Amino acid sequence: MSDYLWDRSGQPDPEIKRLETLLAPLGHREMPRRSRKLRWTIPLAIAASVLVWVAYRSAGPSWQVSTLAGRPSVNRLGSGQSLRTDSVSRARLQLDDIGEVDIEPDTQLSVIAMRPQEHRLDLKRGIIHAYIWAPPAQFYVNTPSSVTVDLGCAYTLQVDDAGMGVVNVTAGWVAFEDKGRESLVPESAACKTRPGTGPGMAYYSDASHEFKSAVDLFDVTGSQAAADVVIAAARSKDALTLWHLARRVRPGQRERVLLKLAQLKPVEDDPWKTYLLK
Amino acid sequence: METTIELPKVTSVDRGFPRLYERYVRMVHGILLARVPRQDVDDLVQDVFLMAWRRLDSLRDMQAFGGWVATIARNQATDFLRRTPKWDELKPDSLRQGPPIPEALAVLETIRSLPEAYRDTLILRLVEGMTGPEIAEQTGLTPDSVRVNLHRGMKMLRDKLEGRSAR
Repeated sequence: MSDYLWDRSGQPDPEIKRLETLLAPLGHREMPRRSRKLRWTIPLAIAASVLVWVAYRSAGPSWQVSTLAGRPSVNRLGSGQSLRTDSVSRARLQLDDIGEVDIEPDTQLSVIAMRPQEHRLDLKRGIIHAYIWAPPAQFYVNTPSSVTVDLGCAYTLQVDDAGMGVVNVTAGWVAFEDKGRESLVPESAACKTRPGTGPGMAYYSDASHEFKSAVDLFDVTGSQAAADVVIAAARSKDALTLWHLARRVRPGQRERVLLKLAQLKPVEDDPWKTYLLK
Repeated sequence: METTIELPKVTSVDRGFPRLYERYVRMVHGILLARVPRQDVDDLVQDVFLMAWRRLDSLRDMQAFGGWVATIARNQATDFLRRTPKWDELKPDSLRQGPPIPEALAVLETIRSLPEAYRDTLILRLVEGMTGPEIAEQTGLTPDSVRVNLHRGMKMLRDKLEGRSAR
């Protein structure tokens, strides 16, 4: 028995066909978009400079490269190829279905993979700003101590010569992971990563200096005293950091963290309630 | 009152998750489109999948992912509507009062005015382009339920559209 409405079998019903055509543009489409929450803007004006290029020839898909300043020397960057900017040059990588990556001066970046479900860069050192509209978990950036996993967002990622990195998220979410240790970083928050210890605890950028220092100290030493300061100095929104802390303190100390989480805000307006309380 | 606190379990990145996203994004988009302002749907789609990614460990049977993420989408829509200022739902008879709007939006509003069971299945079928078997398979509803909802919903939609055009 044919039933066009059910499974499009048989002769199409004209009215249903007309409605399908009329309504299809309202359906889900995988199109590039910028989040309306994005506030970070890139200054385009900069002194003349030269883009330094170190490349290995590679066939296949590639990022389009545009020079934000200076004389353009390359147009594409594919898998296995690298790019390094000098002290005053800046560039932009673009891939239609993935997003854009702006590269600051003194930055060394390589393309590791360009597969349909995995676009991966390697940031050896320097600063990049990523605006990603690909589906979650399709865009990755390796650093010496962690991997950033895009979950639909915009962020700035910085790595120094010692391999230490920090991600600042300006829209959406980023996951930071290394050898099973993970941090989830939302908009307006940051997270550091260090060789040997991997991603630290995520924290909101407007937290107090005391709070951020205690976070740093705990990340590096696991010190109970540092954990005590984090617990004591946490504001309601710092539940983000406490959630990470709860997963990293010794089991005997976890209850104190959980009690603080429960005290911070009423259930009704706590954005973390779905995950933390039942 | 005793409070039980449960920590979310986030394991390492599930490389199968992008495939789940591709498979179920139309369904999630359609469920949200049936409930929240159109301009907020895309952001909420991302929120739903982020929540699903973070709670994936709690799902014992991956075969139930579709129904599970559909529930997350409905709950997210409810939470969104509760915390945002009420938006003016365009009612079909207001078409004669305000400025002209595209026909597609008018039909969408008419579908949104239908009972929930009909509304969801019609949006998934007519807007997101899913077939009845796909809707049943992804939402966890029985094929018979989906088929009944499609046909009854379509009849109700036709009646409403014809009634509006007759004025």
